[in-house]
Amino acid sequence: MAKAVKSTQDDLLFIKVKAIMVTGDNDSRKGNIHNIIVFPNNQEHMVIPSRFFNSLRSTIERVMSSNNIHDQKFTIDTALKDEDSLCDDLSSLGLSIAIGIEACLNDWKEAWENVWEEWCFTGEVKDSQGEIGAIGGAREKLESATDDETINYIMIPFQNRQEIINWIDKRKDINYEVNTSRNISVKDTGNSPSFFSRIWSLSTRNTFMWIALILWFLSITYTSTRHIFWENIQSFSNGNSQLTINLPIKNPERVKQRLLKNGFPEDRIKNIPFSSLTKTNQIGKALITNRNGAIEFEIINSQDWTLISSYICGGYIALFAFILVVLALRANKGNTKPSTGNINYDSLLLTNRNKEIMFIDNIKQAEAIVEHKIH
Amino acid sequence: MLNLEGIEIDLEGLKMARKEGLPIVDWRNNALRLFKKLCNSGEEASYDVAKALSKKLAIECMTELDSYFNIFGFMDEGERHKWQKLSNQLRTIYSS
Repeated sequence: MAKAVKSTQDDLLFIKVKAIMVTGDNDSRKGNIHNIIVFPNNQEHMVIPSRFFNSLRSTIERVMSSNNIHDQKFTIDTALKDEDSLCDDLSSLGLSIAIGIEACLNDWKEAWENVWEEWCFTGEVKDSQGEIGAIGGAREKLESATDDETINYIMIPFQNRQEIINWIDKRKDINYEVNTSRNISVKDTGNSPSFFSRIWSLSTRNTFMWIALILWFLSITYTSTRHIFWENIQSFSNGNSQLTINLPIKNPERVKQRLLKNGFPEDRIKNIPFSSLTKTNQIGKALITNRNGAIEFEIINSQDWTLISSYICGGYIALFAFILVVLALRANKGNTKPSTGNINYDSLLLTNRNKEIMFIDNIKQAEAIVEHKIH
Repeated sequence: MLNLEGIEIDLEGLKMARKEGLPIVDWRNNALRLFKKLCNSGEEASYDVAKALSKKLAIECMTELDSYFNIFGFMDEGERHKWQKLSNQLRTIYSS
């Protein structure tokens, strides 16, 4: 027998947001309100129905970038059915998806659960900074939202403002007031991630960046080993009767000590022209061999690839660090939350319909307005 | 008797098949096993099992089976009809 599903705290993970899509052709075009679901799944972005995934992929990525989130994943049910034929693309779902994701991530999901039916959104997320661009079919969408008695707040791109006012002017059954530059105070929640956590998010955002990060650590290990411990490592490989040194010699006294330690006769060591070897233009490695007391000196490699490699690794270390810092700074710039009192928006009050139409031009502004209104 | 544990195991198997690109036969077998359990299907599907799922399990079954049918299609109209009913049921659970 079927049993009723008990509501649990986990239910708050299923964020519902109203969006409007347009269906039909020419004269039969009409807006349909969809209750989309946003669910954090922690594995990968998924869309239901999955045939719409490619249409929404860039929208989801832009929302994530505008919030500077790269490690969380979401399942988004568009509430569309496979047989639904839309006459506009899915890009105008972007604002609803952005609000759903923001509700998932913020502490207002409980409050949102009680008011979500009063809100309706439409708007395309144009870029990774969260700019909201104009939508098609704005009049059909607004008509369906104004006819829905449960909806009190409608959020629409600012770029559609004049089109909407012109449409309402023609509607004799709707009375409205214009509110320009409404100002709301927004508290800065201080949730923006620190500089270092932004760097970490960037450097682990995908497989390619993980590989780059691992190479970066390996380069640091190699470069420091090459410059600090290299002579000791060479001694291990050559045994006691041979010693490899790098030219030009930087520290003659240290080389003398190593030769003595390896059993080279002291009187012969004194004959080695260390002063010339410190000033030589020769670059590479020299092999000093002790053949029964006679010292042989041989240049074995004029091109020290270990040294050249360490320079390449050094360049990579600096370049990768530089790119990460620049990207983290740019992400911070785009992620700056508006400070207190800086959120302005235009709106229309439909006085005989008890509805407010808000015009917005970016995700942060939309989120701040919702957060302000529901608290 | 409701076997949620069995459904969870089949669901994990299906996720793994999709992510790891198992042979089509394995993927299909995993998907159809889960599908049949949720439909509780003999000749007449009852969907009683699906109705008892938690919201989380419902959306995960929906996601995986939707992906499967999107890629491989339906064997016949009967399967398509059952999926439409089952997906409506699953959606009702996690949208409520």
